[in-house]
Amino acid sequence: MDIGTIAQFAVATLMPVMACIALTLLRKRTSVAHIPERGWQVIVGVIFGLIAIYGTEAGIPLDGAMMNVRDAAPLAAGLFFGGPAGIIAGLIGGIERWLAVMWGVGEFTRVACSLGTIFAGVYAAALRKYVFNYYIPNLSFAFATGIVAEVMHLLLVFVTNLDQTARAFEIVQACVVPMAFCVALSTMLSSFALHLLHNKPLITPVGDRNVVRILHTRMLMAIVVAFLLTVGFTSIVQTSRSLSDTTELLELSVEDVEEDIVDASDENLLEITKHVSAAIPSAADATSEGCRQLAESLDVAEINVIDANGFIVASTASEFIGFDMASGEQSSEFLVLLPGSGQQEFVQAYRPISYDASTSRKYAGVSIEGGFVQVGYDAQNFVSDLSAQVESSVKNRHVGQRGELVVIDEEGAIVSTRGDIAVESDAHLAADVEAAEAGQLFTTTFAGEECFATYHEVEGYRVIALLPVSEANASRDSSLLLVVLMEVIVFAALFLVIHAVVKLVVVRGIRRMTVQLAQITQGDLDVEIDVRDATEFTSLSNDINLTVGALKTSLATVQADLDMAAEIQANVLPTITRVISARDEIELFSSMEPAKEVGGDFYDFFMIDDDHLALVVADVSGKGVPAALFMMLSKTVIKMEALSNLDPASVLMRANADLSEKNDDDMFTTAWLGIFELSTGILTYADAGHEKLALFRNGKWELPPKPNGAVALAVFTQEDYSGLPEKYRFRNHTVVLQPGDAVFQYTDGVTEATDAQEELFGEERLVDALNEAPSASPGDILPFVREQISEFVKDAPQFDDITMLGLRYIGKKATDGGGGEKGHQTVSES
Amino acid sequence: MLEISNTVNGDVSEVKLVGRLDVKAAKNADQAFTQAVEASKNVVLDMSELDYIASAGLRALKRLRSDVSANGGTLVLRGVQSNVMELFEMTGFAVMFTFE
Repeated sequence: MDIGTIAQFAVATLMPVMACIALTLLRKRTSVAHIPERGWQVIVGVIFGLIAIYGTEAGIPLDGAMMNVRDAAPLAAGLFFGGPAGIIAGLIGGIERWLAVMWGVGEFTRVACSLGTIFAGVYAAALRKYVFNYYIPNLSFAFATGIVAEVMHLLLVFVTNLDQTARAFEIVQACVVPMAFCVALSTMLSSFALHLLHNKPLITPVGDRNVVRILHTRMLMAIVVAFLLTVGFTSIVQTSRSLSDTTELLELSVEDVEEDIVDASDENLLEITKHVSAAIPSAADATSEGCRQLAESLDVAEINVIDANGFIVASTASEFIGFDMASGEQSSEFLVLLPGSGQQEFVQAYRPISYDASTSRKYAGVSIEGGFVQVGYDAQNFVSDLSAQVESSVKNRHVGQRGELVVIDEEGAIVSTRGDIAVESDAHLAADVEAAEAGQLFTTTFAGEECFATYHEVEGYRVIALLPVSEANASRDSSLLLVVLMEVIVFAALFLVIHAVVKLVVVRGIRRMTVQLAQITQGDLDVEIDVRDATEFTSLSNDINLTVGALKTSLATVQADLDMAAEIQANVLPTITRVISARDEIELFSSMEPAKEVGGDFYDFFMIDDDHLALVVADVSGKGVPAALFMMLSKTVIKMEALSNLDPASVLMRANADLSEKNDDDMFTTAWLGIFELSTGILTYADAGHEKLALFRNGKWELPPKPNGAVALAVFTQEDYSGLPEKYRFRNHTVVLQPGDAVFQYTDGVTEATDAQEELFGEERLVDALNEAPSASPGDILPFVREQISEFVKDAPQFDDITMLGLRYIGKKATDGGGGEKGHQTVSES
Repeated sequence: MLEISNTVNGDVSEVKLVGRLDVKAAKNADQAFTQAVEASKNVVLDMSELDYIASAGLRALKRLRSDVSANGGTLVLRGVQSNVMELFEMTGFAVMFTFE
């Protein structure tokens, strides 16, 4: 592999990352942002499809396959941009890979690679939708996703080549690490880049993690740990098994050869011994001189003649004469040859002799008359005799597939090898053998290859069995690889199953609960939570229902209080019968319709003395209980002041002084106060930031402009008020009503009633409504105006209290005209 | 609907109100005003795109005015539309505020 190829591979790895960055930046541009999502998916799919093609073409050819990072493109498209884009990219990459066989890309993995790439696209699309819920998987998940995709891809290489598993295996073994790593790295870098581009933290803050994400993270951690543990365990077990298998294989091989050599050696020595026994037929005739001559001619180290008592009577070595064979362990084995013992021949293995433990020798014995002869020889005596047998024994044997058997002599010189391997130097092997113990496993280098070896001492030779380490570990490596690949898939499947179960049970339960809770928080306290997918949910549902029930009860209490407050508020508004039942100079009609249960508007009327009727319409800012309380206060204060004062402006000023004194909550009240003199029809009025007064004169309603902008009550303290410019102070206005004339006062709930388009009812519509009313009688006016308002706002909700007060002056009349029927009052309620 | 945006420039908070300051919006306005007062001494209220103000809105403005003067700062209402100004005039609130 040259630098260029590696560089190309690196570029192919980084290309999907670059594309992710470029496409994300592009999509943010207005010129591209308008492309509909469907079209965008196609564009992204095609671009990543082209990158997948580059991945194929920039691959590294490898025995009918192509090491590549093609799958990174459809993975990135599917995971980060959308399912359709991923599937399109996968199809483009897969189909091109299928066709690429035509221009020389590996045939062997054609099906696996094409399918693998299409799978990568579909897989990424499915993960995005069902597992990652459209969020960008973080770095570790992106990496794991890449690993799983590549493992699937490589398993496909097996599945599609079941008849050539060995070759498939070799390819997978060579590809798995670089391919899985580069694809995973590419996906991880894309995720990294996209996190930065979208300003997302690489590690989601704890509070922002949802259950599924927390589960994902924990599961991934657990899976990585479990994976490493099982792989580590398998690796240890397989290694030790592989070593013991190797030892056994070597041992067996050595023993085979050993047996051959021992057999040959035994046979050889026995042959010589028989020859000697023929020359020395009787122990009584034997002489040491005869022995020496025979030994020399037969090229053996030693010939002994032993008598019937087990003593050496003649020997090549004079010091042996008289040696008691029974005195040594090695020599006593020969006593089986003594007359009467029944055995005629005995061969002993090459071993230290009893007479002198530092000398090793091989002996054979044959019975003769009155004893037996024993012939011993040293290694050098029989090497030449046995070399042919040793050679033939080694020549046709091998250890495993490529292992060797080698025989060296005591000096370390190689006696025999299989012969098809040229051994350049044997010194190294001899030294390693010397350092090791016979029968033990050791490693050495033989013919340039690292080998496991073991040896036995056989008849002065050393028989060595050698097995290349690579071959010895091949089976371990293959089972380990299979375990790793399968575990990746098994754990990935486990992850998905747990994910699905949790999502189905926990997340769905929580979602349903959230939906039902949302109904409750929106005010529908009658909703019952009934998520009962698991006991935890059941008990949670029950708890919530209990809480809501308790809440409902206490709300009902509050509601009852509010209802009572509304009732009290309604009751404090005066009724016509009570106040002016005896007066038939006027028609008076009023209504107050609160927007909420308790409102801030009020009206009031009361007789100050026999001839003066006070009329009040006011609006306290805000709504609810605080407004209602301030309303009560305002009403009381105004009435209290008015009862002792016929000047409206001065009443308002005093009321302001009272109300502004302790007004911490920035409340204020706009008010209109009129004092009507029944005998004369003179209406004197002043206002505090209130609406204009509508007048019915000469058969026509009008809304005369209000000259001043007197401040609302409680805005300024007495001190500040006196410092105000004249135009902002309360001022009296007077209008003289002729019999038949009328006035209409109201709050901003009338003029600012709003329809769905947020248009206001307004003063113009008010004047029109007043003029369109069947008569100027307040009894007709008020319901008609209210009706017009309803027609105008249609379905839009009422946000402000609507308060109206109408007065028509009839004039001084006799008191018997049944005027009591005309004066009446209603408080309309919606 | 009322849209509220708060910006702070040195010791001046600028609050822009767009839309209608009615009963529904008054609470949100109240919160935005509180934030503005907490952020800086002086407050400018951009009302050039405020189409309508209800009495509840006036109350929120009154409270803002109290808070700003408690801080010793100044409150300026900028670009008040004529129909809104009418209400300020009618209720006498005009006297409480500085307009720009």
